[in-house]
Amino acid sequence: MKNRLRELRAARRWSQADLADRLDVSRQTVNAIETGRYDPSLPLAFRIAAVFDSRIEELFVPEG
Amino acid sequence: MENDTRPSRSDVARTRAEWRDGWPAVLLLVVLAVITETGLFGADGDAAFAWSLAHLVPAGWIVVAQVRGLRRADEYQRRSQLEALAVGFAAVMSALYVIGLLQSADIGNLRQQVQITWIGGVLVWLAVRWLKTHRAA
Repeated sequence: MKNRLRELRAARRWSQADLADRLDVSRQTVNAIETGRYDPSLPLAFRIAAVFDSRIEELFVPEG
Repeated sequence: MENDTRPSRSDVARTRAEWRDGWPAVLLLVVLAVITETGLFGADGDAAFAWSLAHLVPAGWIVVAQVRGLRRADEYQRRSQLEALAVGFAAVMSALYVIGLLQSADIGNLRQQVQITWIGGVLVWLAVRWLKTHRAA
């Protein structure tokens, strides 16, 4: 699953820790999601979408 | 800003809680291991059974601390921790098999081998967990 987290986070000039604080997760978790090593659960995906004021399908795109 | 690698607030809180929960038990385990291995306070005599049973206190404490750590972890860290637990479990299973073979051949001290297996299993678990959760650092 590809995602636009890094791009949207950079646009807001947030560090990974800043985003992790907003999501109440570890920085490693944000990094793992950004690098595609981990696909978040649906509840976390909704939290991410809320933080970026976007819809889930605008943030996450199926690969292939 | 973007490349800031400082931990998040939840990282800091979780790390502090893990230290608070786990390290006293590890210290107690080491102290007990020293007492039983050196035979202090009657550990090699009449009180050997009691000193051996005393190891269950830090062992249980460590298990509780790890479970508490799992419950505090977020979903990615929990998955990483459970994968690390599986590796630690495999290490303990393999070590127990080796111990059984060694004991059937009357080689080595059973208590020492069990202690090495227990401590080694926990260390493997912690090492794999550290590697998995810090790979992104």
